Amino acid sequence: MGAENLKAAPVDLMFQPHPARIVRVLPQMEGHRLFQLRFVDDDAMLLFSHGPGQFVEVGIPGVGEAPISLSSPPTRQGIVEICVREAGLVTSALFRMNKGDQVALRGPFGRGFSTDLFKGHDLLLVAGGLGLAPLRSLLWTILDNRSEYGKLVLMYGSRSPDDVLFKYELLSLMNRADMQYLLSVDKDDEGIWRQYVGVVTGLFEKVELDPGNTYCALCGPPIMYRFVIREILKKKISPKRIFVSLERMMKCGVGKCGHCAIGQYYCCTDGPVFNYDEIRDVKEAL
Amino acid sequence: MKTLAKEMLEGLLRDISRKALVYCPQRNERGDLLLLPLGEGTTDGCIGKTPISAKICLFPQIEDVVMFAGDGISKVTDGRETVVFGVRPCDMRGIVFMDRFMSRDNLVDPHYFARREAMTCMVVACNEPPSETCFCTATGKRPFLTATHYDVQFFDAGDYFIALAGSKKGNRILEDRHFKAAAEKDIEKVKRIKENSSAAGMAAGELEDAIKKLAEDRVDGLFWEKLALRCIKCGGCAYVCPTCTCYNVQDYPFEFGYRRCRSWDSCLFSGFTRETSGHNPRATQGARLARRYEHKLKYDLMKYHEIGCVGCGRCSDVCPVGLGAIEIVREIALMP
Repeated sequence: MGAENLKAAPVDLMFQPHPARIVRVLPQMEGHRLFQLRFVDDDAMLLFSHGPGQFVEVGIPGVGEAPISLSSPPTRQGIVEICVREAGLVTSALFRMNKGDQVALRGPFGRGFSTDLFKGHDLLLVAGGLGLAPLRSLLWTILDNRSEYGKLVLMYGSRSPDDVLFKYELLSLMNRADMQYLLSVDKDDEGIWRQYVGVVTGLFEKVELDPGNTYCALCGPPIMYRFVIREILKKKISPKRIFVSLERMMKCGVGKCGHCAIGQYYCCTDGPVFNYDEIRDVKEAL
Repeated sequence: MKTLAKEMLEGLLRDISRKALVYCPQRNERGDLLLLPLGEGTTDGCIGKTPISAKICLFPQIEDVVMFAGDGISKVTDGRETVVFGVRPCDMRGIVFMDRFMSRDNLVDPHYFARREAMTCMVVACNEPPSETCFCTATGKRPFLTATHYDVQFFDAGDYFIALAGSKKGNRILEDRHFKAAAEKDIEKVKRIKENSSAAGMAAGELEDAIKKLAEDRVDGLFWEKLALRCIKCGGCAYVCPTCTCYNVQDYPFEFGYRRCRSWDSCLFSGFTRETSGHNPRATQGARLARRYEHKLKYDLMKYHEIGCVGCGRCSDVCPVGLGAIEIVREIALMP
């Protein structure tokens, strides 16, 4: 039985977890926090380079690992940001941790959004709930290189005014002339919401999209896709121009454990971002 | 080409075991024939078809993958020299299948390949099918290997084996003092064994028909739900399957910290795809049973131009409710 020593081995971020320290914890809405992480080993931090839409396996020794999408853009290196909902064993253990505590990270994994393809084109980003977490990475990738992309529309649907993620960060986008930011809440019991009330598909009336020049990036709960895709297709945008980020139980991240299989694909290596045209006829995909 | 008198086999394995861990078919105290480390059971000359394939020597039921001790994190790999005698041709095809899967898209599984590179496979071709559920012939293969994926392949010539090397490792094994030079007649004997051996526990037409129906999406959800009423969700079919590699990962405490282990899992378990939120993209047992067969007979064919079933029939041997590959393929073939 040979245990490879971490120091002696070449940096392997795929199969070997590396210690990372929690640098900052930023509370979002109830039960959601943004964790800023940094690899303890500088070599690992330097080697870690990701694209928007990719994910990491966040491990806590004795508890396990969970796949979490990256919320930080590749344009801002040195820190790994993950937006986490307290839900299962690993995320609950993570919520008991504070600044300075260590986790074990592997990654980044999977196919993200292809920014090379998007360059020079108009973009529609549609997020539902926690689906904003990976799209925030794409959003800031675009905003940090704004001139390289065309028109930008972000639609974000939440359950209620209290459930808006990155509320203050995104508020600053409202005044930007170089993008359109549309928000919706499913319900507003207290009558405090000044934006659209209703499901996110209602926002499509408010935008004009150039079907021949627009790419769409979607991330949200499973139920959202069918309805949002219908609206996009109504705007005469080709299925080939729609990209969806799917969620499955991605245990290993390297296409081996089998839990995230969708038809002939593995969500963790062929996805989590898929071209809609590629998977619309694949069983169990949407 | 060399020959080995059958009574010399144990001597050969003992020679090899001085330098390597040797697995061979042996009986445990209950009389089950298993691939066990030499000396852990009793040999009675029977090679048979062990209920669990040679996969277990390469991809054990449970293994450590990472260790957390203090602040240290280390990846665990096991590269002990291992020699397995009694690998059946179907098992070897399963191993070749796993090799491709475990290294696909340049994602090379270090735990698997540490073992694989240190492994020597001594295949024993089947003159007669070891059990009536063997159906490798129906998958288009024969009960011996033609491509040299093996290190050594043995043919049973009555009171002795005829051995052929398929690799450098195999050549080294054939240098052992227990082997003798083969005679002219042995070439003829191997040829005859090959001509006469087959394993037809399933009619070839049935499998082709089932594959075609699955490819054309003619097998609906209701068909699977009806069959799945019988499934007791034991996962046995996946555990014994030479190509099944799905695993679960869990952490266990040990005296210096935690061991992260992976262990066999099965797509027939309801928790296999269930997410933390409670949402389960594969919600019914019928969908799970469909997944298992579509994976092997449809998606593997699409991806690798080869089905993910080697025709060993172990799932049909082990399933307590008659839902092995033989029964399911027959049910699909019987569909209009």
